[in-house]
Amino acid sequence: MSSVGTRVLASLAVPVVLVALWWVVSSGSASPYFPPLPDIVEGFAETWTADRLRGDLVPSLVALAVGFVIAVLVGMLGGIVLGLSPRLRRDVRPLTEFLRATPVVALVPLGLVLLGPGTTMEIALIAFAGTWPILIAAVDGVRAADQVALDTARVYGLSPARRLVQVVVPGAMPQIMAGVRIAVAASVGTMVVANMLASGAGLGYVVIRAQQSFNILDTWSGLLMIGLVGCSVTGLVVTVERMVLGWHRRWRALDQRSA
Amino acid sequence: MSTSSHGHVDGGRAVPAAPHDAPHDSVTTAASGADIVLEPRHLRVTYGRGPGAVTAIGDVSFQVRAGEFVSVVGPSGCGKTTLLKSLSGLLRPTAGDVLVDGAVATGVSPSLAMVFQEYSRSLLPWQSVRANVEFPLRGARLPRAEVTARATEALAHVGLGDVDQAYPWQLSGGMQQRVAIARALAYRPTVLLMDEPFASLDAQVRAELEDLLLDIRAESGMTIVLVTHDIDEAVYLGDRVVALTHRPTEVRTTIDVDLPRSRDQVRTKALPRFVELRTQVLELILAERSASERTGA
Repeated sequence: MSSVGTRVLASLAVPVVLVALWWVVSSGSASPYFPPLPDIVEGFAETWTADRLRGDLVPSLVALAVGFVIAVLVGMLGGIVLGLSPRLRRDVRPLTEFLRATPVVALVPLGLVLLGPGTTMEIALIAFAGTWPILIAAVDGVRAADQVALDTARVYGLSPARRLVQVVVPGAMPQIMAGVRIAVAASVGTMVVANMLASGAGLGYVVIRAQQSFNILDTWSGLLMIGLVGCSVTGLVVTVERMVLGWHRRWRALDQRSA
Repeated sequence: MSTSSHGHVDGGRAVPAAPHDAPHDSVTTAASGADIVLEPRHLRVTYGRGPGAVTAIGDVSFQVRAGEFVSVVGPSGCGKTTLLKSLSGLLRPTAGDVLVDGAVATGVSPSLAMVFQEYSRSLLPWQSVRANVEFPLRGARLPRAEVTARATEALAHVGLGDVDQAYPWQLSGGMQQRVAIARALAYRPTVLLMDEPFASLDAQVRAELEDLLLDIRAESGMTIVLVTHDIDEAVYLGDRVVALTHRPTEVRTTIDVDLPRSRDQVRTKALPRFVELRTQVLELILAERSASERTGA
């Protein structure tokens, strides 16, 4: 218990010190570009009124959630199918390599043309950005399935479908979850960029509009909100990962101790 | 990764329902002309094609009777694992076939279970010990209570009744292999195939598990085919020892182990007959090894 408390404190130490430093150093700041942190915090409360939360934060979060869920589903399913079929993998490889290497920012104009500004376009871009890390991780995870475990399952008469669900996919989960973590960052980033470039509302829109109207305080508090959203979503994913992969973490910890 | 190379279904042939519900008579049936439960016939396995092809198994035939403990030994690299894979149906032989309960097996048979050398890879690390033992049974349309009861019984049998909620990787190597043995027991196969099951365990644990295996066989009358490179182990455990040649593997000879059925790590191994038998097997294996060195195989 106390060791958990100590660890939490230790992990918070650096951020707390940095924020305190920022608070102290910036408090006398007269620069219009670097307002004092106390002012930003105050501005944060003023910027994020109930209307703003409803009109800008919620739509962004909804787009993020829907796009991310699509990315997880498409990435996992696509990755599993490609992981299982060397032929399909070889055939679609040029396409996947091309698409994953395409910066999602470059797709914003296309998204605008095809889907118009709005939530659908945002969701599509977020899903696109998040799919690739998950897909690639799932392909690797599925291909790395343990041959002895698979032979065991076959000897004991498990059908191909049950081997997939009970052996291959659980075995690939550590890699898939690593891909999901990367996808979170990519999705949040895409959400902000899509908002900035092509939306009339949303987190990124708040920041870009504040910047364009030289409202530096609002720019800062918008950034603060984006940071908070990113942290929360990552925290959520980490929590899910701990639930799904508790066995893996403890196994790895044991391995490292005995090594 | 090939989940689809060939199915596990046994071609729809009639398999006696729950072979182990009708217990094998007794362990003494082995000597009389009892039922043949497993029989590779002119088994041949070739890897690759053309000039680069390697014939791992040339021509292997032998018979395993119900209730018998057959040890299979051979010089290193003679394709023992390949043999076991084709016996189990995991590997389709290039030629020849395997009879299980008198019928030609066309894939893996529900009458066979297998214990692998790599216990830590054979057990699923994300499942508890109990779940690992139960997982082959869950697809078998058994009532839930039956699955639980079989797992409980099998785990108690291998002395792991109290760690069924642990993960396999929390256990020692010997205990993990016990879990794998329990999983095979709960499956109630007609024949238990074992691929060097104790090769990566230390000598003390190995002796423990050898005796556990003898106990299990004495109580259940299960037919066991154990592949090993350890000649002492082969003679100590077996009713018969099948000695293989080097590649391409054939059966060199079969030796009846005419030792008293009840074995003991100290006393059995001190018997003059045990020493004779192990010397006999060792000479065969060494002769095969030098033969393979001469031919450069």
